[in-house]
Amino acid sequence: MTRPKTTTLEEAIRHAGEGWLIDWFAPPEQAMSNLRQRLEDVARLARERLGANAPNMSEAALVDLYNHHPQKVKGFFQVLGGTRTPEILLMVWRIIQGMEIKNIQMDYHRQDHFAIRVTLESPYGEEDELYQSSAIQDFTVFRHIGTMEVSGKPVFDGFYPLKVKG
Amino acid sequence: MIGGIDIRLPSKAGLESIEVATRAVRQSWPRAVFEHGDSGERYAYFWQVPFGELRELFVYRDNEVANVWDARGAVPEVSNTMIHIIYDDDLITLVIDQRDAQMDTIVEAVRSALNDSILYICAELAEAA
Repeated sequence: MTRPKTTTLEEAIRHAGEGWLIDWFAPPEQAMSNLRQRLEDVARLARERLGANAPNMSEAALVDLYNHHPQKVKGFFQVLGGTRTPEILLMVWRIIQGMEIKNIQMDYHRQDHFAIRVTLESPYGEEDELYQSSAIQDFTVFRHIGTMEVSGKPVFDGFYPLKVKG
Repeated sequence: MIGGIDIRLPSKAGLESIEVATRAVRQSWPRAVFEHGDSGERYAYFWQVPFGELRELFVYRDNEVANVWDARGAVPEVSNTMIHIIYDDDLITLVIDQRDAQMDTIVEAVRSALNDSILYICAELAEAA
């Protein structure tokens, strides 16, 4: 399998087949600055919350990671445009990295409120991490979460890109 | 693992199938370590594994048994502590030493994970306005 050789975030997004994120933004010429701002917000939050364990979320690091592991990053691109809060994007990144979903609590009442709390746990003994949001748009990331049963018990695990034609 | 058992599971998830299967194995082996099927490179952490480009991966229950496998091969003490995962043409093959209760749990977890519709249902972009 030939690895991508993209050099910019826009190139990586388009190479991943997710150019619609840019072309359908209104107005399209502001799409990249908007996406970069979101990335910077996630990177800042990662540093604040995770300190020395914070993943490198810089644009250059993301492009490099895309070139080495395109499937891991493609799903992240898909939610980068529509997710409302940096906290939920950081949660997505941590799931892609291998953190496991320990607990999800969702509370919703039509035309009143939405709240979601997700606890991630590390298989390597690091502290649990809590992510929460009250923005209904953040619910869309759960379309990407994998499901399985282990001995008949439910497990959410993995964050996968949607297969998008077009 | 000469004489191991091959368990074949259909998958429409392409090369992503190996990540899906590995995540399912990890539910029973949370301290698993990994080895590239071609290069032999060892990965202590899940996030290091180059999923998406692999066709074969060795998953060891933990680092200790991986060291034994490396040093002494398929000796009885490490029976059923490694799973060889192979992807080829819409098929995942799990190679194990023998069926037992834990392996059956793992195999069924992999089967369940590979059945997730997120892996094979294709969405289509609406026409741009």
